[in-house]
Amino acid sequence: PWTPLLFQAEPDRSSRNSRLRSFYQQGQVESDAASVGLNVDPCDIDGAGFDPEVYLSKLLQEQPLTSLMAKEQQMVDQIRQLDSDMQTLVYDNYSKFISATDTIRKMKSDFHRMEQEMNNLAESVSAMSQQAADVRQHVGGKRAELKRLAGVSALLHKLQYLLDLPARLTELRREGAHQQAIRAWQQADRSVRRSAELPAYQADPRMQRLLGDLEAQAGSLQDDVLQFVDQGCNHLVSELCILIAVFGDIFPSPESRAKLEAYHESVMRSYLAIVSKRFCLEARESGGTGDSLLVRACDRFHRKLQAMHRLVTEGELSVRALAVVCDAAAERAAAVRAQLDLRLTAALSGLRSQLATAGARSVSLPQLMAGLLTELVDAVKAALAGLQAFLATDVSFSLKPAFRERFCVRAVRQELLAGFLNHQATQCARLAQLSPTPPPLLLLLLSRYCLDFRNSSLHYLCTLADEQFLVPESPQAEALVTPVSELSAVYSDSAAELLQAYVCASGGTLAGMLRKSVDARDWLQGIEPRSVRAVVKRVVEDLAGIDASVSSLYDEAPSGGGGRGGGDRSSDSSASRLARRPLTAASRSQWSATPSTLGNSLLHRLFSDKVDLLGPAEFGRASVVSGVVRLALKTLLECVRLKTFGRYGLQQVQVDCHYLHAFLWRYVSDDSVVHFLLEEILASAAHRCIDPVSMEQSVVELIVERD
Amino acid sequence: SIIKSEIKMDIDDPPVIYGLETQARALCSVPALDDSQQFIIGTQGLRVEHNQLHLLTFDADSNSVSKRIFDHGRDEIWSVSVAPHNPNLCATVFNRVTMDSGTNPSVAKRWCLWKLPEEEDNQTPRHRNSSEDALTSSSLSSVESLQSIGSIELEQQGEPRCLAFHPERAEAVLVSDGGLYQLGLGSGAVRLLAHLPAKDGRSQLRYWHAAWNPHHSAQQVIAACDSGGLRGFDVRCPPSDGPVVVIDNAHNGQARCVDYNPNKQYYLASSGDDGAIRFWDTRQPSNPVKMLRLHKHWACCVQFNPYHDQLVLSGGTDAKVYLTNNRSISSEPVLSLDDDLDDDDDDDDRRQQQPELDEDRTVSVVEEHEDSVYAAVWCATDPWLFASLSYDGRLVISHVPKSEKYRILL
Repeated sequence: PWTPLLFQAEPDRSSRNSRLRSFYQQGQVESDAASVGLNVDPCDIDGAGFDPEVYLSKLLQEQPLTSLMAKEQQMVDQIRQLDSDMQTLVYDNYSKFISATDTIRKMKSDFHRMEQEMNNLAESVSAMSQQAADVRQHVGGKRAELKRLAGVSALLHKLQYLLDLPARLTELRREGAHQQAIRAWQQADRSVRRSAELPAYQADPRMQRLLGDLEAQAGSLQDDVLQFVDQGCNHLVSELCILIAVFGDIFPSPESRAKLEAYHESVMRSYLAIVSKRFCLEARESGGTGDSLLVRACDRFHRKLQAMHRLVTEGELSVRALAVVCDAAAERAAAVRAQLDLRLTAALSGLRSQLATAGARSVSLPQLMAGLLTELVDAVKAALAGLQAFLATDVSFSLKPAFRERFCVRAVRQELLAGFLNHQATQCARLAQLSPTPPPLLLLLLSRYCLDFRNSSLHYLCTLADEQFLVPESPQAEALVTPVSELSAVYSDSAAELLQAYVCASGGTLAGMLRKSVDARDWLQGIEPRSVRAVVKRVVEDLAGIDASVSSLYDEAPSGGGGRGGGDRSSDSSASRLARRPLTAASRSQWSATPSTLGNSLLHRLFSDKVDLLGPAEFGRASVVSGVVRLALKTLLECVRLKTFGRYGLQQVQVDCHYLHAFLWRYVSDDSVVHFLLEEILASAAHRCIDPVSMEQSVVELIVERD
Repeated sequence: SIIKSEIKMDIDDPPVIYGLETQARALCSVPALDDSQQFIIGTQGLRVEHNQLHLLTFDADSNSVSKRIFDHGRDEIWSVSVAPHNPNLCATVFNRVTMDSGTNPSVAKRWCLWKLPEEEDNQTPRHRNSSEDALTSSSLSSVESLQSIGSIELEQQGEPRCLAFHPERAEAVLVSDGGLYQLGLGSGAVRLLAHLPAKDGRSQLRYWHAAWNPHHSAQQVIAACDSGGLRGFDVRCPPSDGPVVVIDNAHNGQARCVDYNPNKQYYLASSGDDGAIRFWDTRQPSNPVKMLRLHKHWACCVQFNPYHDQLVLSGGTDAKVYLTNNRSISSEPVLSLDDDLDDDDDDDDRRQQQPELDEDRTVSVVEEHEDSVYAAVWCATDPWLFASLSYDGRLVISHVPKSEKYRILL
């Protein structure tokens, strides 16, 4: 903003002066002005406090005209000079301004060009960075590898140097270059000492990666187990062997040997654990056909490790490999056992539904039982046969005593066979304890099944397994195996329990019918009996059915063993049993359906041993059926005791009892118990009767005869 | 007597047998105030002129019983119960035969509350029966008469079965064909408090027996049904709410008896026609906690020992009474805890030698009965004494074997 200042021409000289001065010597003017201001003299023409009026009046008062004239002339000269000075300054400045404008214009055009060049530059730079990024991208992935390779290469060079060193030293010594030899030795010695403390083997990444791969494979069944073994053996085990061999050559000292063993041990431990896991998975999950594959895999694995064992004698590698194989085989046996258990459960529930849907008459119980027996025995035999693959002669571990003991004796003979046989017996017995009782026929059938299984199949299967799996007859082996006699006892117990449950169930059905009929009837009021009550006839009919079922499975007499019942029994046996008691004179005198037998029953009690009315049933038709009869009659007795009878009520009981007496004798093993119970029923009814007048015996017989 | 007491340390007292001349089903323990060991039994004689209640007091020193006899008239007694809070208050369920016009006899089950007269010491000394001549109960002793407190007619009552007194309050539940009737017995009169009909949805049930839950101030009662189920009710709820405990198919056949564990909440035992004793936790009614299959025919009664609830008594129509120890489901602490508590080496040795000692087991079987046992009860005042009654009128008072007693106490 100096241009406007230039053109504000002011007449005031001092102001012009000061302005010029301020422009050219800004800083100085201020200090001058300050110093001037201290002693202001209004008459100093160059001073800041110059006052023209005071100066003029002073000149006019003090100076003579000449000097005034001279003064005026002098001042005019000065003014003229100052004007010219100013003019010069203005031109000067103006020319500077012009040249400055020119310079700026020139700069402007120069900058324009520069900008263009700068743009070019930016483009080039960005292209370059793009290319740099591309290069980095391409090269980046391999950089680490390259670096590692470079490192490895350097290391290898060094190692090579170290490995060559003994040879070189010898050569140098032979050539007599001792100086050189010593220098080389010193150099090597330093670096060897430096790395002496490094844990060389733990950080072996390749081995770890192999282990990791195997472990990943061990968790799934996707890959073939043989492939798995091959991979493990060919890569991991082979490398380990090489490592051991090379290492042993290079570092023969005992300390490094111990280190190597520790490393080897840790790798092998991991490897064995992985293999064991994989084998067990294979054993568990593979279906029925998995045996041969698993055996081949085990065999291959065992062979390889045995070979390795020859190389590394420490650590009992061979024993541990065998242990892995044993575990796998035992696991397989356990899997087979689980399949057998499932088979048993399915067979039992199938049988149950078959019996529940089909009526008692439409199925042949011996046939069903034989079917069940064949099915399960065959299943066990098939299971044993499948497992024999582990014992093939070409299998490397099949003859090892440890394997024999673990697999043949413990896994197969004891856990699989004895375990399953025991499980079968207890499963059957469990049905006897179920609270909503299963169909009685199932109980009956299974009781006979347990008995038959004990008699025929139990010993056979155990002997078969002993032969097939070469179970030795040594005390050690016998200590591990549940003896056949013990299993046999379990089967006997189960059979007895099931039979007892059958007696309770079918006796309970009859008893329930009798109980309901006694409860529902009004025994006090009523007409003279004309016939046997329908429910009593029904009980006798049902008893015939029960007898038929039982006799199809059980022989007449209680027998601990022997063949299957039913086969030798004539088909008309049950029909003949429906026949009435032959009314011989003996039987008539022996029992008369009159309630006066109360004393008789007391005598019976006094002089006979306590009759075990409801003792356990034995394995014979008569014992079973009479168990059912006794249960039904005992219930009838108890129900009668809860009622109060009128005369005709009592007579109805008389008729019923006589009917029962006429028909039940066929089914029972001990007639006297039936006698006793029927007498008790009659006596109790008489006791509970408010008008105890009994029916004529002949009339009773007539009514029963008519029915 | 010194020698005798020494012998008694080792040998169990023989059971005492008391015989009735008629059949009998009714037996109850009397919670005597003077802690004497009393039982009451009733005769069941249909055509007998004088049915009787026999109040028997057991004398431990002489191992004999003394009796008081009360006349019950022609009515044959089916059930007897004594109020826990008042040993003089008893109830009977009986059969009354009426011969109207001689040709058409009718029989009706009824129930009545009675007051047993106070014993007058100077007038009627207790008649002693030593165990030897107990079989022939003498008729020499004078017969006292009962004082009837009353009975009320109930709607749809049907046949009454038994009456269960409330363990604390002056209340009772009458079990009958028509259901459960909650009765108030206070202030000298009987009144109906609530009626829980024996309905299960649409089907009609018949109750046979019932027991109060002694826990939580006894607000629940559970009944055994002829269908084999158990039904528990809370008397604070309106009858329309239905049962609070439902155990279906507790027994195959009829459920005959039910009893709450006096020391362990929610636990109860039931017995039934399948001969089984089942133990239940009412919070898990689907499966029994434990089952005992001892009786070969109906199991008619089951009762926890009022003090040591591992001891359970049961009687059945197979003429057997079983005393079992069910420690595993009792309120007794488990064995391992015991072992931690006392580090007695001898004790450990003993247990190791006989590990079966602390397992559940049958302690003893009463073999003295020859006919069906319909009732077996613990003595209300002595935890080591129990009585059982068979149909032929034979009452057997037995002791818990000493070995078992010491095993529990020591």
